[in-house]
Amino acid sequence: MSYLMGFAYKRGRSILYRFDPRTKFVLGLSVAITLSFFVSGVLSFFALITLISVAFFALNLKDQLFSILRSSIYLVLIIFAANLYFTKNVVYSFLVLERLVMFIELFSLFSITTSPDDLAASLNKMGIPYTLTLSFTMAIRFIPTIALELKLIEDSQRARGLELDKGFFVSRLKRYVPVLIPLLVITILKVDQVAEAMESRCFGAVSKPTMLKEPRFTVFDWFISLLSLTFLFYCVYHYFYLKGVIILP
Amino acid sequence: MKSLICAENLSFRYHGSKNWALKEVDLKISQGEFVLICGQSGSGKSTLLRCFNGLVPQFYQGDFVGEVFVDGMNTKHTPVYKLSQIAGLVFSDPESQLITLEVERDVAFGPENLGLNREEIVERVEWAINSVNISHIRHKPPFELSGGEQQKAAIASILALKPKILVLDEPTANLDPVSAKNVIELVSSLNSKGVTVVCAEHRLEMLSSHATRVIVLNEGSILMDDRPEKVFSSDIIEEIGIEAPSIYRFIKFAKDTGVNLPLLKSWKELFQLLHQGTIVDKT
Amino acid sequence: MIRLEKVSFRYPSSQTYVIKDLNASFVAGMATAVVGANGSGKTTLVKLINGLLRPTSGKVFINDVDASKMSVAQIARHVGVVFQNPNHQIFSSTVYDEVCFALKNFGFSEKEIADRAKKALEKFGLLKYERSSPFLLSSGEKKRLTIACVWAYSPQILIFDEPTVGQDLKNKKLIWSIIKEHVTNGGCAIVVTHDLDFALNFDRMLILNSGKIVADGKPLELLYDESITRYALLVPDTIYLKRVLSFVNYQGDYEPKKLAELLKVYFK
Repeated sequence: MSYLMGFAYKRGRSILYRFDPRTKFVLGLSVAITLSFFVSGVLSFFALITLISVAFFALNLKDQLFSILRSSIYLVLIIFAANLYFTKNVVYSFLVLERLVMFIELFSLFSITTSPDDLAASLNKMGIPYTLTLSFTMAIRFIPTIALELKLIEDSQRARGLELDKGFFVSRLKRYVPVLIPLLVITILKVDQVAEAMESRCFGAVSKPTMLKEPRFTVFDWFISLLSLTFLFYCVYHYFYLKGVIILP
Repeated sequence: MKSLICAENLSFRYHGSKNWALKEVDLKISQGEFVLICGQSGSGKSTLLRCFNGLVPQFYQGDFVGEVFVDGMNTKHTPVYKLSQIAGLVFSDPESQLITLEVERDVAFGPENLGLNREEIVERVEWAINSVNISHIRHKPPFELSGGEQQKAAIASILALKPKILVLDEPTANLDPVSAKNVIELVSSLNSKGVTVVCAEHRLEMLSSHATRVIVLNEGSILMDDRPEKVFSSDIIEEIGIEAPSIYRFIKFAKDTGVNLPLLKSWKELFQLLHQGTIVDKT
Repeated sequence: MIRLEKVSFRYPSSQTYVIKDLNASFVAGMATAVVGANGSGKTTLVKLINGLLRPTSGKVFINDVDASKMSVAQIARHVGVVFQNPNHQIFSSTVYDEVCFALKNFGFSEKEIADRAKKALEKFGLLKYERSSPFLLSSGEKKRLTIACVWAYSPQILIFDEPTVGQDLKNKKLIWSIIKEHVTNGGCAIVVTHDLDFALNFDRMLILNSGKIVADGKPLELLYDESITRYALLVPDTIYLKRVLSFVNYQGDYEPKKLAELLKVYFK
């Protein structure tokens, strides 16, 4: 559960929370694309990562920051090592590592500051079918519930003498069978209960339900979105018509 | 008076099952009643309740015999979403009924699905949240709520559909006694405001003082259908293993031996009577 | 048999203590009911006793051995816990295999496993389902199965977490008879429950509030005190029946006809 802490929505009131999810999406995507293909610079990237990390602290999210660093450390190191091995280029490998860390941090910031409900509402407005977005929010909503059931099942079976801490890979998986089976059964039963409850609340009565909260694009949202897109287009222009990739110190 | 719920010769067998879950049930429920349905596990309580909003036979396939009318609408042919606006179903697991990340959104879920306009949705959500007294937790996600709060939120989300009948399937099964009492008192207050209540429960002690009518189900058939004091003092109840509140049996025996006690609903009431000495000992 | 000395517990990620400086002992031959409101720490107490949770400070002793030196599996051999939801543990293809699971984990011999499993199934009326899938049992039968699974390996200490929830009268009586039999044979039983009617059967009751033991005594005496409502507990109506009986000096087992006769005097 703690692995997901860096990506779980946490309520707050700083400026990032007030952007429409679409704005954050456009901003994040522009930054990601430009930094991936059109801008380069080891030290600048390092500075950027530091800046983003400071943002985490400023938003009172330092636990989340440590959580994502903890969860991604292996992946990041493996990718760094693989790149080093294949390209034998330290600078290049460092750049790849920095880009990866940057994306993880940006994605994390996006996840933490965007309520899944708001995100789903924005996606609805963009034309994605209601059933799809609802499945998405429900999946997120039920993660803590399933995690709790998993813990309770583990406890029950451990109290019957099952030792879950032993073994590696295959043998560990075998030991988990008495935990996975009840989990599956309980999840299926829950799905049934949820379906009944939804039917009883008129789900499917109308093909396009009205929403209580509609996402609204403010002037500020337009401003940031246009700014991001302008920046992106400038980088593209620079790349194709001028000197290529923008190299920063 | 026209019945709100009318079941005629109702029998139902789940697809793939040998036994009939309901056998020739005849039942009429009128506006304003508070009906308690009791019976052992497997007696058909849950199946019967699901007949009232069409889940049986539309959601659960099987052999359906007879007719059920809810506010005049036939439950075989009327879509569940129409029936659910008359008979709102509340289930025993509070958590599974809340599907969004914020109580307010869950309460809005029903009206949203009906495609009502925004103003109407907002009005219904406000009314439902206030009727149930959960304004202080309206922005919380389900897993931060206690069982009792979750069940109240679930009730609010059903109230937002403005049903005439509240149908509850063991609503306090997963709740501790204090939360159970809260939920039952809420349901009772809703009943006094005009909502018809049909409730299946194991915790008879808590509900017997609110119910106006008790229906006993056993192996799919109605064994008894009468006032609480008649049902809970009968011998049949004991035979099928239901724990009826013992006060009722006592009142019956008292009457038989010529002791005219008022209609008491708990031993507490009798104890208070004796202690106050309202009826003075003339010796 | 079980002793808790100055046990305090909080989850690492939280600053609030769920259990505060708790001292308690549970002896052989006694059945104790542990009651308290939601969040009073009842279930946490159970988990501290069987090792699923370890005290933040203080010690837990099982038969005078420091529990921190034992693994959960080792503790489980002596402390059998029946949790509230049978669906959290049922996983085998047959009822028989389900009963054998704990026995296998604790290293009983093949002959002993077969012997004990059969006895357990017989005791709880599940022999006819021996070869059936446990998933097909009714909720009452599943409950009996989970109790059978623990009874089969005869732990000295038996702990139940909310055993009567959703159970019918027959099962409740069975559960109580198992507890009574266990303590009569020298075992120790701890039952966490919010069913205060059920708690009246016990010789001893502990009331937990905000992680501390606020009362320890005979259930009837404790529940007679109406101020227990401050611990968010509901006084069961049966208590008032008992008070009525003592008011009229009623002797013997309760019978409605007898009581009615006695009350004639008061209601002329």
